Amino acid sequence: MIWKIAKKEFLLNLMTFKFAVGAIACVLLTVVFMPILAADYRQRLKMYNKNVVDNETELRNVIVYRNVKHTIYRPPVVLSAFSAGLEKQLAGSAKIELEKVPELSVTERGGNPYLPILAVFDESLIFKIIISILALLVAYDVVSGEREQGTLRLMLSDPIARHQVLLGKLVAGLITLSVPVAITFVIGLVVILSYPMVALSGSDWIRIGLMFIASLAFTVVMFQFGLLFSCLAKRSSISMVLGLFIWIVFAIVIPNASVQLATQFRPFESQETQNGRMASLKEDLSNELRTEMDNVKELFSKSIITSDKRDAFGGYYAKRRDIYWLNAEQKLNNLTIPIKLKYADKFWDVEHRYLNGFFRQKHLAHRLALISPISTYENAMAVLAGTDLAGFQDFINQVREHRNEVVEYIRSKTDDFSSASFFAICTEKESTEFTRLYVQKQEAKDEQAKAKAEQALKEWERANPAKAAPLNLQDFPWFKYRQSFARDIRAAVPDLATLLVMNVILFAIYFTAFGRYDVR
Amino acid sequence: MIEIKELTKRYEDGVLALDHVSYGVQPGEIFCLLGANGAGKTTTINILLDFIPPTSGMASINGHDCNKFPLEAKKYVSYVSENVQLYGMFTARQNLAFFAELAGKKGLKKKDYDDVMRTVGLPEKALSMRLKNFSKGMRQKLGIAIALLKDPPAILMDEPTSGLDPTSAQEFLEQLRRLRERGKAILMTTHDIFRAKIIADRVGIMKQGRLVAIRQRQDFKHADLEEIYMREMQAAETAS
Repeated sequence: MIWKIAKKEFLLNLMTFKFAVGAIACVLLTVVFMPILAADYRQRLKMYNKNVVDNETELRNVIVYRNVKHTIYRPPVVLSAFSAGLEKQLAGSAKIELEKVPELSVTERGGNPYLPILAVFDESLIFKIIISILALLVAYDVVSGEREQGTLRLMLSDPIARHQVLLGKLVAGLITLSVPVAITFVIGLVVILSYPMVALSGSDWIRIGLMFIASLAFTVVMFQFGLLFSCLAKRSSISMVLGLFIWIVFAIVIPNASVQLATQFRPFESQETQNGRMASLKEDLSNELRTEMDNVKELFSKSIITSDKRDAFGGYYAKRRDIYWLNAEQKLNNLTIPIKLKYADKFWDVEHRYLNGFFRQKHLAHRLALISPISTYENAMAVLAGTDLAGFQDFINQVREHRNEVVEYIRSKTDDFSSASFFAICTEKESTEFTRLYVQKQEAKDEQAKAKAEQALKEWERANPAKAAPLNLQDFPWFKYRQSFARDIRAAVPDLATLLVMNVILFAIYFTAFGRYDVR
Repeated sequence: MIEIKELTKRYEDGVLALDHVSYGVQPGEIFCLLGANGAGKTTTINILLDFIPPTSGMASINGHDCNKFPLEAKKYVSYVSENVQLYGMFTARQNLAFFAELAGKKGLKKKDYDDVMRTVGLPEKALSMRLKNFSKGMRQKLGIAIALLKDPPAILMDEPTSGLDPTSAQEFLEQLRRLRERGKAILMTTHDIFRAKIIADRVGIMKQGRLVAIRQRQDFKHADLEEIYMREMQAAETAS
């Protein structure tokens, strides 16, 4: 019996103008925008690959350990075409350096990264706008329309229970709406896969499967809202107005209001305060560095060669210096690098505290917005695509771990930043010999002795040319980004469960409402 | 077949729509309920179809209490509304099949549809026409066709001739006669005293929720039913 009603409803739905318009709109938008999104992904992937190669080449050419500064890039997410999330709002790269602990940053084009709707186009936008409205339009007259038409009386004059009628209508709505949902997904996938360089892994397919389920669950929630209004209102015009009203509330009012409320209830320090803290820290750092500099000033004063500008830091590394300068620089590094590392942590702490406040506010806004199925769905899709905030936080945490590994690596290779290899390509032994010959030349008593000493220095230099050989990075801790599939799935569970609970609650409410519905 | 005992309905706003009404409709009988708007005619139908519960009393079809066992009771009844509005985008055949299947009719063949169309006076080609192209008269006939396909022992009709042109109304009466011949118990509410006189075996006259009179066919066969109606209404007015 339920199936008979479902079949009838399904056929009638397919024949309606609104369904045709909705389905065509979905197909058109997918066909028009997915190639753009796929091309954009390909472009970003190309750029990512180039950046990674360039970065590695640069790193492999580094000569001294203090110049081990490289950038880590987050690979673009192939599923961002389905849900762009924050991928274009948050920076997908971070610099690894001793003086700074990496942290998330917002890109210039980011603006407000939590703008609820219409921020970026992706496939989930089709669901959030077109299919959600279509679901409401399919549902709004399912009961009230049949009542106005008189067919509900005729149907219920047959030996059929009301719950069977309702279940039939629900099943029909599900089947009807799964048509545009499936078409949109299939076309999207076909377009994406038709592009070279685009490949989907096994976990991507599972993610897509879950995204499809989330999209269906969301569409059914919107359909059931329409059905609820249809069961509450006697006239379909009223249920349609209620449906469109609730859509505006879900799509615009709740996401914006939740951000506003979160701003009120969970404020965090202003950018100015953060800048003030940073400036104060910078001052402390330079004071501490100055003090240490003063401590080693005396050592530097013993330096006998003072005009080695070309050699000193022409390539950001020292080629050849006298042993006094080398020892002074070693001492200075030994004293200042730990301070810089300490302050890097302090700077990060300030930055992290600021961002943490921002993210805590965002989490509250998200929790408040959970009452809107559109927000819940948006979040579930971003989590499943791997473009949500947590995904970026996971990336930056991995980058931070990597930076710590790099710091430890350099520390171990440079005897706690004090060996010459940290900043120079010469060894202590070479510098000692160079200094000895240099002093010998300077202190020569007569011309003959001076010429001899100069000759000896030149011969030594010829025999020991400055070799700017790249570092051996065989045991370097290379970064490998691990996108956590399990984390994403776990993170998506609350949103998926919320959509499920919404469906169950809505069903219970309109089931009760229809039981009391006045069919007269 | 259709039994109404001491049926009372008071709406939530306090309006007494039915006041201890009792009567029955036997197989092969057409019982016409006459009365002004708000007399309680449609309320009776609504209770019989379990669209609303009675305040007290009982309505039953084929011995099944319509309020307690509505699904059982509805197995034996078919309903034709004042304005048969089926699914406009479906063809007549799709509409017939859908409602007949809901009533539990299975395995209907083309011949069954052709027969029922012929019986109600609709051309066979109308089977493949969409309902949105049907006139009101054609839709009423299709409503009867659905009732025929379901083939229940009782039929409830709520103002079925309302808005029909004279020819369609005449054809409709023909259908009613055939249904009576097939032993159906028909309860029909109407304002149309003229046609009630032609077709009814008994008439019940209702006023403000009360059944003020029941007249047998012999009482009005050769008399002016309208006059009887007016007289009974006046008597009820005086009594109240």
